[in-house]
Amino acid sequence: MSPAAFIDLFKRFVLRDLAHNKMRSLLTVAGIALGVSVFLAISIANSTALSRFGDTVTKVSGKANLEVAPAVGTVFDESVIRDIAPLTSIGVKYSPIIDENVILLRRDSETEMVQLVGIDMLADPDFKTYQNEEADAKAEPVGVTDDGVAGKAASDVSVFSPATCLVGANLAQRLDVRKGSEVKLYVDDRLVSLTVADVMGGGGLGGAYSGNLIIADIACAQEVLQNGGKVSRIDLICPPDASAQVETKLRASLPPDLRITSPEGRMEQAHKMTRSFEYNLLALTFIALMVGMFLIYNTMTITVLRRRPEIGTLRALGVAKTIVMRMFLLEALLLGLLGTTSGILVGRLMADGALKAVSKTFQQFYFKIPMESADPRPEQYLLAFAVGMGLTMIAAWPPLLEASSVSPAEATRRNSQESRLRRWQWPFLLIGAALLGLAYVLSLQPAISGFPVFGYLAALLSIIGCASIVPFLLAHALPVLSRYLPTLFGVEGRLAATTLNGTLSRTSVAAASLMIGIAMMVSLAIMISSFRKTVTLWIDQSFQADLWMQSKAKAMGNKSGRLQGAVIDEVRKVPGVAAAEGFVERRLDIGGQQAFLAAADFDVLAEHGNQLFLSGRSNKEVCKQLVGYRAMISEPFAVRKNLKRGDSVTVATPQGDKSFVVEDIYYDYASDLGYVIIPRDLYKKLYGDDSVTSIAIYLEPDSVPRLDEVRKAILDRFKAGRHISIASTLELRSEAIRIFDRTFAITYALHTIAVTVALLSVMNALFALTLESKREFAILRYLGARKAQLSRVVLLQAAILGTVGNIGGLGLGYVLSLLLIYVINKQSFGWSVQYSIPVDFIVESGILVLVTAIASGIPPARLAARTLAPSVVRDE
Amino acid sequence: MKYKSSYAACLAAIAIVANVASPVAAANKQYRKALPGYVYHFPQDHFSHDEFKTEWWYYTGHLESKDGKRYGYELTFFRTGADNPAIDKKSAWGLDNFYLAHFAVSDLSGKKFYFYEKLNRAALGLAGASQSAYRVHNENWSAMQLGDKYVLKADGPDFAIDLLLTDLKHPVVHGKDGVSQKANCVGCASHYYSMTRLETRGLITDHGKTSEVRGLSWMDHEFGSNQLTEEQSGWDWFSLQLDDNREFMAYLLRRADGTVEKQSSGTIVEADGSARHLGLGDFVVTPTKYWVSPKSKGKYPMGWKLSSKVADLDVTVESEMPDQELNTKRSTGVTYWEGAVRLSGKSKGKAVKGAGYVEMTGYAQKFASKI
Amino acid sequence: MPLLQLVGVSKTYGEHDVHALKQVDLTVEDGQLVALMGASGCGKSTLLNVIAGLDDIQEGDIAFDGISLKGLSDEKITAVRGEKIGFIFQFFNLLSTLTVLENVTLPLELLGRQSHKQRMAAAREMLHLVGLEDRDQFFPAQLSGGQMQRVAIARALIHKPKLVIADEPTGNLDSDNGAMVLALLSKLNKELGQTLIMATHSAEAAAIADRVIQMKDGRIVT
Repeated sequence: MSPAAFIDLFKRFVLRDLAHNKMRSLLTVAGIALGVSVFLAISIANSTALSRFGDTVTKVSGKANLEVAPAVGTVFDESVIRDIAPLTSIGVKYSPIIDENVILLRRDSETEMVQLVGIDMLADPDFKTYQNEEADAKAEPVGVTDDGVAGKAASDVSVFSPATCLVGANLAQRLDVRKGSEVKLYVDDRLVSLTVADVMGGGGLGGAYSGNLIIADIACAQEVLQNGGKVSRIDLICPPDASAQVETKLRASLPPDLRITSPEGRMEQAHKMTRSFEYNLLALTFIALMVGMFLIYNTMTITVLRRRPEIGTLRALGVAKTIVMRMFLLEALLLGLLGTTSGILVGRLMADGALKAVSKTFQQFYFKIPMESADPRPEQYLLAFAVGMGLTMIAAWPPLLEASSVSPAEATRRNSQESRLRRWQWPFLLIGAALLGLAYVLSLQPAISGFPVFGYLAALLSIIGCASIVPFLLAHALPVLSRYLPTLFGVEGRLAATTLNGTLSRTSVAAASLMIGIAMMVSLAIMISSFRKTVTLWIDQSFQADLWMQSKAKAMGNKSGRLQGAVIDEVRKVPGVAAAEGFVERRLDIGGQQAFLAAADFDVLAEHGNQLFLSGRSNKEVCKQLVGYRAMISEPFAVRKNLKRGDSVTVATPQGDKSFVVEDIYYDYASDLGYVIIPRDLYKKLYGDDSVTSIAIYLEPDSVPRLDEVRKAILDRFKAGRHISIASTLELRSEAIRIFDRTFAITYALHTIAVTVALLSVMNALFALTLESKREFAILRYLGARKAQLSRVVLLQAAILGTVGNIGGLGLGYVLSLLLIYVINKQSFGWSVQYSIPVDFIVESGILVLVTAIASGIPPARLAARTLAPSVVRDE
Repeated sequence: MKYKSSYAACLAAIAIVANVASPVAAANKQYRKALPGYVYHFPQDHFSHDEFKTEWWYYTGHLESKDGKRYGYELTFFRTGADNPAIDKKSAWGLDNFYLAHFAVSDLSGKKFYFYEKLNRAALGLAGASQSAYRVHNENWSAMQLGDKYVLKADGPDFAIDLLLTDLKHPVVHGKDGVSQKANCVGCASHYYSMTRLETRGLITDHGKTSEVRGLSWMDHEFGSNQLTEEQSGWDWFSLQLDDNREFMAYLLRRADGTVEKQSSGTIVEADGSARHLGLGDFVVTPTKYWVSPKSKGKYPMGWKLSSKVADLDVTVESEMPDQELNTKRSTGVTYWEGAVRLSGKSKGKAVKGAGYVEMTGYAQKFASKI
Repeated sequence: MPLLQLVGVSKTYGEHDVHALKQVDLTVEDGQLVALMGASGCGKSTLLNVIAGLDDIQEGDIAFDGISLKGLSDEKITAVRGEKIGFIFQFFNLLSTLTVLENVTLPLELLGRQSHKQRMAAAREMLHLVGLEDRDQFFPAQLSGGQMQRVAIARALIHKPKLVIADEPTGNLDSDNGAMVLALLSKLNKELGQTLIMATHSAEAAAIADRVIQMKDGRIVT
C-alpha cells in the first residue's frame, strides 16, 4: 500500500471515527493530559527546588571550586584562614563567607526569613560577580531616603561603614527599601538594625536566594550575628591542576571537624537529602499516569472491539494485517500526542502552583531557599513527552495486537471478544493472585541504599494484581446483581447489570481504573490520617513540658536562632517553674548525609520528660544512662544508618571524631533527616558552645493552672532588649499540625487529580457502552421503554461501576496503605506510624466518588435517551 | 616617588567602595595632614603612620642572577585608612585600614612581565603595618627591618623573591621643610623620603628554579592624607641610579588641562649622600618615543631626554621592555606602567650609565575617565 | 370505530424532501390481519414506524384506538406503544444478555405493571403458546432462528397489545421456520383475534392475511 493510500485509509477509517466519537476522544486526550501534566508539574516543582538551591550555591560561591565547611553546625572558627592564606603563592584564592538565616522584621510588623550573606568585600573579584542597581542604569532618586527626609548624609554610607548592608533587588522591591533605609533583623533574641548602603542588581551574588538576601561585609555580618571569629564557609578558587594537591594539603592542616567539599558536593548532598520526599511525590503522579494509561487502553480496546466487523471487512477486502496495525498505532500515537502535548502545556501552567505547595515543605525540612517561580528545564519537557507517549504506547499495545489479529472471517461476527475474556477470567485471576503474592514477598525486602525500590515495586504489582482480578469479580458479581437489582430498581437494574456483564472487557477496565483511583485516595487518606494521629499522640505523650521558650528568631523560623545558656538559670528562678531543660541542635554532616546533632539536659529530662523509646524502656531509665559518651538517636536516623541499641555513632568535633554509644532509639517525627542527642554538659565541652535553641520549662503542679501568669513572669524577666518567644504545648501542637497539613496539601491535590482521571475513565467507558448498546436501547424503545428508563439504565451502570470501583478501591487501598505505611514511608523516612483508618473520610469520599461516578453517567445517559429507534434497528 | 602610586592607592580604595556602594564622602575619621615642619626620625619613620590616611612602602630594583639572567622587580605595600573605622569592634574583620600590595617582576632576559596583587585587612594577621617596628606585610609578602638590613619577601605562582637589602647611604627626605608638595593647597602634600641606593642580594625563584641574585634597589616611603587634587590627571615618576653613585628622582604631575603641576619637583642625591631639592624649573623631561598598550590602549612614553643644569645631568632614558603595565583590577583598580629603565649620558660632564624605574599613571583611557 | 385510521399521512425525510409516505389513507379494523407488500424502499417500514409513533409525520393524522397520535408528547406516545403495541422484527432483536424468559417479560417490566409472579406466569403462558416453555433459561445465542422469532412473538404478545406490528417476520428464516412462524401468527389472529399488521415480501405471508395492501413509492396502490 502506498503511503498516500495509507493516509487516505487512515483518514477515512480512523480519523472519521475519532471525529464521530468526539466526546470519547476528548476524554481520552484529557486523561492523558491530566496524567502528564501532574507528572510534569511535580517534576518541575521538585527540580526547581533543587535548582534554586544549586543556583544559589553557584551564585554565592562564584567561581569557587572547593569549599571548607563545618561538619557540625553552621559555622566554624575563622582562624583556619591562617593555614589557607599561604596557598595563595600557588595561585589559590580564598574568601570567607557567612551564610545564615536571619528574620527580617518588616514595616508591617510581619516577619520573614531572609538570608544574611557576609562576604569579604575585599576578596578577589572572582568570588563575587554582582553589580548595584545603579549599574543597571536605574538612577536612585537623590536625597530621598526611606523616612522621607531629604538628607544626603543618610544615604552616604558605604558597605565598609559599620552596620551597613546591601539588599537584594527582589527584597528591596518587595519591601520598598532603598539606599539609606533601615532594615531590622531578629538575630537570636536581639533586634538589630542595619542601614542600606545600596540595592543590588539581580546578577551574580545579588541573584542568590532569588534576590531575597542581605549582603554585608564580613565584619558587619559578624557584628550582626555576634559570632565574631566564626564563618560559615571558606570558598577557594584553585587552579584546576592544583585542586587535588590543595585538597590534600588542607586535609592535613585543617581541624578534623571541617569538611573540604565542592559546591557540586553540596548540591549532591541536597539532592540526597530531599530524594525520598521528591520520589514519593513523583510516585504519586505515576498513579495519575497509570489511570491515564487505563483510559487509553480502554478507549483503544473499545474502538477495536466495536470495529471488529469493520476490521474484518477491511481484511476481507485485502488490507494487510500490518496496515491495520499501523492504522491503530497511528491512532494511538495521535491520541498520545494530543494528550501529551496539552498535558505539557497544562503541566507548565500548574508548575507554579505545585512549587508553591511543595516549597514550604522543602523550606521547613530541608533548606531555606526562596522558591518563587518554577524553573523548568528543557529535558523535563522531553521526559514528560517520553513518559506520556511511552505509557500511551504501552497501554495501546494489547488493543493493537487485538486489532491485528482480526481475521477476515470476523467481518460477520460480533462480540466474539466477550466469550474470550470470560474464558480468560480464570488465568487473569491466577496472574493477579500471583502478582499479589509476589508483591507480598517484595514488601518484605529491605531498602536499596535508603530507597524503597521493592516497596514501590510491590505497590505497582498490587495495583496490576488487583486490576487483573477485576474481570473475575465482575463476572461473578454481575449475574448476582442482575438477579437482585430488579427488586430495587425494576427492569432497569437487570438491564444495567446484564449489559455490563455482556461487555465484561470494557466494564472491567473502567472498574479497574476507578478502583485504582479510589485505592490511591483511600491509601493516602489512611496514611495521612495514621501519620497525623501518630504525630498528635507523640506530641501529647513526649512533650511533657508546659512551656517552650526560644529566641524570637527561632520562633520565626530561623533554625539557628539561639539563647544564651545563662537564660536557663534565669528561667529557673521564676516562681512556679519547677525545672528548665536546655536543648540545642546543630546541623550535622555524617558520612556525607545531613542530620542533626542535638544536646539535652538529660538529668532534667529524666525527672520531667517522657520520651518514647523503641525498646519500650521508660524515659527515666534511659535518660539516667545518658552520661558521658552515650547518645539517643531518633528512629529515622537509626533506620537510615541502620543502627541498633549498643551500636556506636561517630560525630566530628573540634577535638576530633568522637564515638557515642547508642543508648536507645526514640520515636521522633520532627525530621526525616534524624537526630543524635548527646548530653549537653559534654556537648558544651566538646564544642565550646553554651547556647541553646530551646528551653523546655516544667511548672510546679500547682502553677500549671496559672500557666499564662508564669509565662508573663518569664517574659517580663527578659523584657530588656531580649526578644524571646514562649509557646505552650497546646500552641506547639497546633503549629505542628499546621505544618503537617501543609506538608500533605500537595498529596491531597494529587489524589484528587487521580480520582478525576479515574472518573473520566468511567465516563469514557459508559459512553462506549452506551454507543454499543444503541441497538438494545432502540429495541427497548420499540418495546415501550421511556427515555427516562434508558437514562436510568445508564445511570445504574455508572452506579454499579462506582460501587465496584469503591469496593475494589477499598481493598486495594488497604493493601497500598499497608505498603505506604510499613514499607515505603518506613524505608524512605524511617518513621513508625500507628495504623489508623479515617472511617469518616473514607465513607464520605466513597459516597462522593459514587455520586460523582453516577453524575459522570449523565452525559452518556442523555445520549442513551436520544436513541433513535428505527434507524438503529434497521442497521442490521 | 611613589607619589603616583599613593594616588593609585587612594583611588583604589575609593574605586572599591564606588564599585559596591556610594562613594564615601564625609569621612568620619579626621586624618592628619602633611604639613611643613615635619621632623624625621629613623628608624621610627620607617614604621606605619596610621594617623595619616594613605601610606606606602615601595621597592624597585634591578637584579642579576649568577647565570646572567637580568630581572627588574617592584614590591609595594599600601595602607589606606578607612573613612569609617569600626568602633568597639567585635569582629576581627572590622575595618581600620585597607592593605594592598603589588608585586611585579620584569624578566628582562626573557622580555616577559609578571605581576601579582593582594588586598586584605588586618583580620587574623593577614596583613598589617606595625607602628612600633618596621614590619609591613600582606599575607606572606613582607618588608621588614632586620638590624641594619631590610628583608623583602614576595611570591606568586611564577616568581618569588627573598632579598636582603643594605642601605649604602642614608634616607633622603624629598621636598622642602619635611613636605613634598603635590599641589598648591595646604595639606596637599606628603611626607616622602627614599633610600636611593640599597645593595641587594638574595634569591629569586623563576618558575620553580631558584637562583642567587645581586643588584641594586630603591625604596620610597610616603605618607599623607588626600594630597592630590581633582585637576590632576596622572603623573610620571623617575628614579634613576647612576653608576657614578649619584641618584636622581623626579615626579611630574600632569593636569587635566595638559599643563604640568607647578608643585612637581625632584631631588638629586650626590655620591656622598647629600641631596638637593629640584624645582620644576630645575630640570627638563622630554619624551622621545611612545608605545601603545594593546591591553589598555594607553599611549605611554617609552624614552625620555632628561636634563638638569642644576644637577649637571644630561641623560637618555629608555625602557628595558615596553610591556610593564599593571592592570590591578583587584586591589587598586588602576592601570599604570611601572617598569625598569636603563640610561646613558653625561653626569657632571662624564659619561655615565645607569638603571632605574619609571612609573606612569593616567595614560590608560580607563584611568583618565575615572579621574 | 376502527382500531387504526390514517388520514392523508405524509412523511418526508431529511433536507432533500424524500417523500417516504405520500397522502396515505388506511383503516384497520380490530381483529384484522393486514399484509403490507411492495418493493424495498416503497415505504412499508416507514408506515409501520409511523403507526407505532416511532416516526413523526408532517401531514395528516393517525388515530389509534381512539387516540390521535399527532402532536402527542414522546412520553405519551411511548406509553401508548408500551401498552398497546407489540413488535416483531426481521432480525428478532432479542437482547442477547437476557434469558428467553427475561426477554419475554421485558415489556411487562418496562410497564412496571403486575407482580413478579404474575409476570412470570404470563411469560410462561406465552412461551407455552409459542412452544418454547422448556427453553426459558436459554440465552438467545443458544437458539435457532425460528426459535428466536418465536420468543420475539411471545415478547410481542405478553402485554396483550391491541396491535402487533411485524416487519418482515419471516425475512430471515428458512422456509420451514418461516412457515411455522406464519402458522403461529395466523393462529393468533384467527383464534385469539389479535390484530396484526405485517410488512412482507413473501406471497406465503400475504396468503394468511385478510387484506393485502400494495405500496409503491410511498403510496398505497390497492
